[in-house]
Amino acid sequence: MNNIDINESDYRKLQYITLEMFNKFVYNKANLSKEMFEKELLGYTRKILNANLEKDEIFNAKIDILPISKKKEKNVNGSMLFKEDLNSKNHSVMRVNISKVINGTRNKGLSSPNPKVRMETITRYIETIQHEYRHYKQKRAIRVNDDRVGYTSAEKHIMSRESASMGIKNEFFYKLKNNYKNYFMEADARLSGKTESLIISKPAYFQTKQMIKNGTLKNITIEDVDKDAFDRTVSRETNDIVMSNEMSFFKATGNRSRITSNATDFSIACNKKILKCYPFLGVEYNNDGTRKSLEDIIIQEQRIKNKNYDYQTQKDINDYFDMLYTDILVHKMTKEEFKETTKRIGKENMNELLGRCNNYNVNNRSKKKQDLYQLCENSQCIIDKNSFSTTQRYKEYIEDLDYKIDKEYNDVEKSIMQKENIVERINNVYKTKSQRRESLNNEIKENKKYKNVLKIIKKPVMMWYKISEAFENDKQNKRIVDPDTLRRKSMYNSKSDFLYYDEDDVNLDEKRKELRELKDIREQKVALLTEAKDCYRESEKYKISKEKNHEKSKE
Amino acid sequence: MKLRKKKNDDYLEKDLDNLPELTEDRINEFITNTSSKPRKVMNPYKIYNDITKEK
Repeated sequence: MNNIDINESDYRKLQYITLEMFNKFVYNKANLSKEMFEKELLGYTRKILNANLEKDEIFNAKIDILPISKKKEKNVNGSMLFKEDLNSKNHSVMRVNISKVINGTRNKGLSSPNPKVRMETITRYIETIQHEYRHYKQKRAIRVNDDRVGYTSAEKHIMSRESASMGIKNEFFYKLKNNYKNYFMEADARLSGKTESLIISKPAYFQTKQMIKNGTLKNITIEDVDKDAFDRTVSRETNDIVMSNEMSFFKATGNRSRITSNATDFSIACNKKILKCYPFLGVEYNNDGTRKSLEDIIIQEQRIKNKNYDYQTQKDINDYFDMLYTDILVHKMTKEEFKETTKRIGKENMNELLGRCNNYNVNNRSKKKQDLYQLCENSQCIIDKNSFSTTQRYKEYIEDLDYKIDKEYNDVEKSIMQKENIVERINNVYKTKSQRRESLNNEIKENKKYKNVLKIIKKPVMMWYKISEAFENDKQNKRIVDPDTLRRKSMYNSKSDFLYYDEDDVNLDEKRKELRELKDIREQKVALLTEAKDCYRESEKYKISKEKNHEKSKE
Repeated sequence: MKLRKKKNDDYLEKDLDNLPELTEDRINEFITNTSSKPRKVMNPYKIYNDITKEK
């Protein structure tokens, strides 16, 4: 992808507003109460957002700005909320947390005596606004079909997946912070917010430089200004997005696509009306909320390609379906499903599809893909024309899942029982703690079965539980398992690397264990210390008495 | 472990009911809407260098 220079004249109005803010808050300290700060900053956010809307030529937009309450969401800088009005289709609500700007992260933000701190807070404030505005543009592209950035449709599909699962799934996004950071929407918004804030604060930057030379600003040096302008995050994001090839951003992230697609499965199972919001997901899912079969997707692609479009759109559509096939074949399907589909479609068609996946160099993909080719060759090929347009019903989907999960669960139960026996045995043999720990670790290293078992546990149990919860009518005939109890069993010794897991819960149990041990050790230590002190005292008494006796004898 | 809805909920059921249902034409509109402009990719390294070099 070619990097295109930006017209800085578009940002002139925004630059003017920031200069105003710098004159008001940075160069001279403003003595205002918190309420007045809030009022003024709310006014500035409105100005900045309006300037952004003018820049992008969005005339019908209607933005409400709400300050967030300070107690509930301390860690949030800003948040965006998009709502469609059927009349105007442009309504949206935007929330910016101003309390963080006023109070500041380190030294009281805008009310601090140090102008460097004040400058940081204002640049960060502009960053957050630009970041949220980018989210606004993303949502417009996905939901109202009004793309002002020029995303590819593959990217739009990924974004619609992410935002569909963001509405209901707290676990995927908010509890696991690494997941949240690595999503495409967030990375894109972070980068744009950072760069746009650099452009916007350009004249203010030069003005501060001059003021440092003149000696009016004493607490800042030029090096500080440089550091503030260019942060580590920019270098990290650019390595992902800008400095590499066109589709690179989801080349290197098979893991991400797998997780997001599973998350969308859950969210659509919970509320299938979400599909109305994100029409891109209509390619993957039926209106019932079931997943479309691979044949249906192929037919859709052929229908679209029969119509005449520009070269650019044709290329875009091709890339889009390549992405879908890689997600489904390489990341989503199990081996059995793959065999069945090859039977239905035929070897040649499957080979074609696998060849289209070639564009994406995912980690560990090459090994997996070789396996898939072998499977394709080994499978007995039978083509049924009737089965070509079959759709997977929801009940079948759940029944398959139940079968798999019951099977896995039985295995897991057996393995856990075995493990408990081993633990008891070890406890009887080794009585000191250090011995016990070493022996346990050795046993677990030797038996690789447990590791495999633990891997099996983590994924499908949660999935089954969620789906059963979503459909209460089907619950009666099924065994209900608390995921929490299973977790406690499964987290016997090893720490999980799996992303579905809540790390907080895991750490709690381990921490409790550690604390107990520490308590024991501490009590032992205290006892030893008291003994030692007593011994010392006695010895001193003994010394003194000895000396006295010695003196007496001398006398 | 119950499914919690997000506090700032995007998906109010009234709004969802009012939205038009998915049809093939609507999906195709979304897929084939590639903007005529090429995408603007901002290069922050370049921007940073421009800012620091100027006097």
